Amino acid sequence: MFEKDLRAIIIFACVFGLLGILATMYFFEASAVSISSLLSKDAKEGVYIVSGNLKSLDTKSNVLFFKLCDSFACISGVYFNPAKQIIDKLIKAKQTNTEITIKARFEYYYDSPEIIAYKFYFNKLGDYS
Amino acid sequence: MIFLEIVFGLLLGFVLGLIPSFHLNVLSYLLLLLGIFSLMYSSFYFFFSLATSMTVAGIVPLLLFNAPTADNFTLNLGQQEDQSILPYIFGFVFGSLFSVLLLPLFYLLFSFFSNFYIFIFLVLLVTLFYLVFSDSNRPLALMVVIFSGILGIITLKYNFFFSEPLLPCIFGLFALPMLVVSFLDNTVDKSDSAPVQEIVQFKPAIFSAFLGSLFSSVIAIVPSLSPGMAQIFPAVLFEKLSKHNRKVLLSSTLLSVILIYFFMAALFRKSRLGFVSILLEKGAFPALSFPDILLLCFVFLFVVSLSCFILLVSFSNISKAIKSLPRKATIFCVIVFSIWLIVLVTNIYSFFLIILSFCIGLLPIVYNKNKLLLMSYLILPTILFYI
Repeated sequence: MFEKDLRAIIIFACVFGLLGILATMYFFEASAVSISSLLSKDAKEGVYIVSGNLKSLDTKSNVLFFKLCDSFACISGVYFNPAKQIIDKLIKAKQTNTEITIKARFEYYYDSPEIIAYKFYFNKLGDYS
Repeated sequence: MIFLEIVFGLLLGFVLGLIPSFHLNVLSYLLLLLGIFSLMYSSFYFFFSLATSMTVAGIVPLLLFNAPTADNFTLNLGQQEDQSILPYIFGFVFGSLFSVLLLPLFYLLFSFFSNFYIFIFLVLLVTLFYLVFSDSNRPLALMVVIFSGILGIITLKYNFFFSEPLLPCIFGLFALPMLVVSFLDNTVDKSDSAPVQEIVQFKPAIFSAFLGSLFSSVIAIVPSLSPGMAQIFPAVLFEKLSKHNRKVLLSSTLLSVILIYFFMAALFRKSRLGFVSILLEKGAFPALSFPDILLLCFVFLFVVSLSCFILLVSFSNISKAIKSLPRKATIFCVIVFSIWLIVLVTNIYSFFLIILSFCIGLLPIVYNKNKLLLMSYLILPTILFYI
């Protein structure tokens, strides 16, 4: 040991990290689905990307509760510990009835389907929070 | 897009890390002042890469100028002229690997202990007692603890006068005294001497890196403990770690806490670092799903290893370039620039706080005491908070 081996370890760690990033992005990329498909009986729990308009918005004990709707159906959602900037953007999106996209985990909470939001995309350019 | 964020953050962080005594928190206030957070609030991985590579590159000014920040001030353990970068890089690389592996353990520890206030209170109290009682001259050590503690209580707990006291006080306590000592030091610099190749044994060094990552979990859970405190835990538990292994341990801790701070903020929305607090406040932290956590870990490994590679390859050139500068004039410029920057991002009254905390920060240097005693500035107000 030392410098040569350390250099080899660093290069290995660098390549490993890079491959890990690529693999995670490839294998775990969330698929875009409609709200209706999440409400169907054969919907599986997982991370998805859904789009729609906000119909209700309420904050209680640092948890944001909302309803996301498309033309056919609505689904309940929660977002934990929202920053003030995010709440402001969501209120604006609700007031202007702007379509937003959400990366969220879909699951059943006491047999009721709901989404737990991870990221909000406020426009098609990928501006998210 | 994510690769652009990572690479841009990495390069910018590396360059900023080379600025002596330039801490992440100062940067965060500067970015806030420039409105960068509002413009780039969606670029989470940019800020993460920036923080990581800045921490790695921050070792360079510490070695060449003896210019520390509040986090890495305990790292410089040897003489200026025999500094080798290798133990630090070893600590960074293996520390990053272990911190990724120990992340589930941290999750469990944090879930269990974060609201267990008596535990946090006891850890802080024991740390403070240990710092005082392990010293050969306890009355002097107690004096440093009391002075810095009172400064902490006045500025952090019962603060009626200053809007942002933390930045000037931390700079005045930890960085400025070291910079002034370096400025006044008339030792002839051996510019031509090559760094001494340090003999680092693999197994003990790996163990030290592991300990560093392990103790960083405790440091992240307990508020007001800085990565510099990591040296206390092995000192209590294992007594003897060689100088090189202490370097490995401390650099491992320094980097592990970065991952843990970001992980903690993303999952629990809790912050122990000003930079992370501002990111949280600005909504730049998305909630993380399991794949996102995996991605975070891989990005961390990638950024750390690439930063270390750049550092390893370019250190001799950076060192030569910096050593070619007039030493005293450079340190003077660094002092003036740092004070100006802090006054700029806070207010003019910070100047008074810098002077006051500088006087207290000089005490451990004048009386040859452990500089960690100054951590009482943060620990004492936190203890009072829990009483």
